Amino acid sequence: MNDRRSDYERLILPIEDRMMRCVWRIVRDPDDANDAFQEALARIWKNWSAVLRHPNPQALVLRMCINAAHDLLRRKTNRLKWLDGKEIPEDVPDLSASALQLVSDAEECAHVLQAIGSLPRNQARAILMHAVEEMPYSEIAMVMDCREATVRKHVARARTKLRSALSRLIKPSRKEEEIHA
Amino acid sequence: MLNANHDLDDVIRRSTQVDVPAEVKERMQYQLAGLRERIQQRPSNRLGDYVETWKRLLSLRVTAIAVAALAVAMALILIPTGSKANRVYAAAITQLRDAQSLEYKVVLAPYTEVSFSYLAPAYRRVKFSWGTEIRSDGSGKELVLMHLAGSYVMEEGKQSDALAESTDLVNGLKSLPKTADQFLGTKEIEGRRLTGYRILHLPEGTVSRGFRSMDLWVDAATGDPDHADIAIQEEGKPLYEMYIKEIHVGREIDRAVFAMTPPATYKAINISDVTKHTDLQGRQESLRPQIKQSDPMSVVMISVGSTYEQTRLGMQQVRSSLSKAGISPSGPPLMKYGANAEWSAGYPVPLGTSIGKPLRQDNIPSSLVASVVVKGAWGQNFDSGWGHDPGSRWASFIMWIGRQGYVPVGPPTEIWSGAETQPSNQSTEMRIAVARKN
Repeated sequence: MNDRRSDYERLILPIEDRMMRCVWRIVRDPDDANDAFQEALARIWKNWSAVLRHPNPQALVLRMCINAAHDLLRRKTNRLKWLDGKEIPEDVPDLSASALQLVSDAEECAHVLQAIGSLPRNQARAILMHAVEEMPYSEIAMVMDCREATVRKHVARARTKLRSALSRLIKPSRKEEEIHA
Repeated sequence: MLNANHDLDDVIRRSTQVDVPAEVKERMQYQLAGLRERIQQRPSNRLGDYVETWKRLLSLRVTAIAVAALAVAMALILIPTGSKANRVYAAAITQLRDAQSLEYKVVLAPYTEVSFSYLAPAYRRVKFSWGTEIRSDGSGKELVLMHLAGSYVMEEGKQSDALAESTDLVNGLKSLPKTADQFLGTKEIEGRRLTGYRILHLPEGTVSRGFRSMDLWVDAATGDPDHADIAIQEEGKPLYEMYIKEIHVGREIDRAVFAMTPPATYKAINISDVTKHTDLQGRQESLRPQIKQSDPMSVVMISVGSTYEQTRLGMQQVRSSLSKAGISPSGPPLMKYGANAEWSAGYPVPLGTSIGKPLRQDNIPSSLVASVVVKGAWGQNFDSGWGHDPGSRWASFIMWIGRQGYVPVGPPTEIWSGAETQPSNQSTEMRIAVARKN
């Protein structure tokens, strides 16, 4: 029992916050987050033997959380077209700067999540692990069970697609600014 | 490009780096507690150890000859064990298939135990730890005894609808496949050597929907089935585990336990229209019993005697202790009927609250429940379609649950709403965890 207790304390306890955070950051809805987290924990439990044997168990656990959250995001993205503006209130009675900023932030967030939700599975998971969880390529390769070069390719392709989808949210580089000037 | 990548990552990070709201975090922490408990209760897996040993050996990149030699050596260890293991499994399956009598207990985590007895050809008894018993004799009659209330219901209907039959696993255990899908290795329990087998497929209809696996542990010396762990997961729902223990095959069972005659002192309950209810003022109103998914709850309880007066005092004691600790209850008081006429009473508290002894804190996960709200003084007698007293009302409710295609998996809980000093405004939510019939 003690060994098994230490398994949890050794592997899960130190990353509990990260697990919760990475699901919430992707899903952003209390009920969806609850479902995604439940699904993630079910997967972790189902694959617990594999987690114990994995060379980087914590990265694998985080990957399972990201996968569960991303699966839900994909389903939601397919169901709702966030870019249609359904999630963003059209009528904003409070026109103060802070209210506009809130709407603008919500819009940006919706765009980013929708764009990630539209990516192919591996690309989305690679960019989420890299950009959101700031995991190094070597670690991502380990949990995706592929070579580091493949991860880089997934991330690069994801970036290309996201750059195109989110062009208006990304400030032009200094060089681009000079050309426009 | 590097800069552009950085900006893009920055946008992604900016859009995703937000703190988890406290309420969401609470729910997640509660789920993590469940995972922690599972991991701590996880049985060891010898097969997994073998696989791990193999992987390590292969990762050493020893020569092919050495690997081949090791393979032969390992096979020599595994094959005789597996071969004997097959015989042990076959012996257990034969015992179960030919069983004239079968007894076992099911642990419905975390608090409830249900004892099952079967005697050929069709006698069945299900005894719930909270004082309810269901008996059937295969003739289509079913007797539901509410021991705490000293009341009973006699039902006659189609045998296929019988609660006793639908809740038990006799058919499933009697029709286990002739070969197991995986050998799980051996373990020692109380001086006995048990061998484990994983079964991944069962004949349809023998266990609940969403069946994932059954790990059957058999006494290696006698071939007697000892216990089994069943994993069930319906699509989109969390994994649910059920533990079967104290399996006894072919043991002599006193036929009196299946008697279809209620004790002479028990009062018959006449169940009429259970969705109609007369309140204290004699007004007729429709009840709305429902099957729903409950929210997870954290409750602080103490054990009380088996009277409503003691229950009320217990609630006051918990409320006072919580108040001293600076904790406000998050809802109305509740009581739970427990085993051996021991009830519990207490209050729900915000999830994540930590309470010390002598109070007991239970975390009740979200689950499928049957629920109905009855208006009337808490724990009192009043005439209604559900029965005259709380025991009768529970019996009626359990029968209603059966008719909806569910079985109670308990324990029964009552949530008491309204002001303590105004019985006429009090109401009771009767709530019990349920599962779909097979």
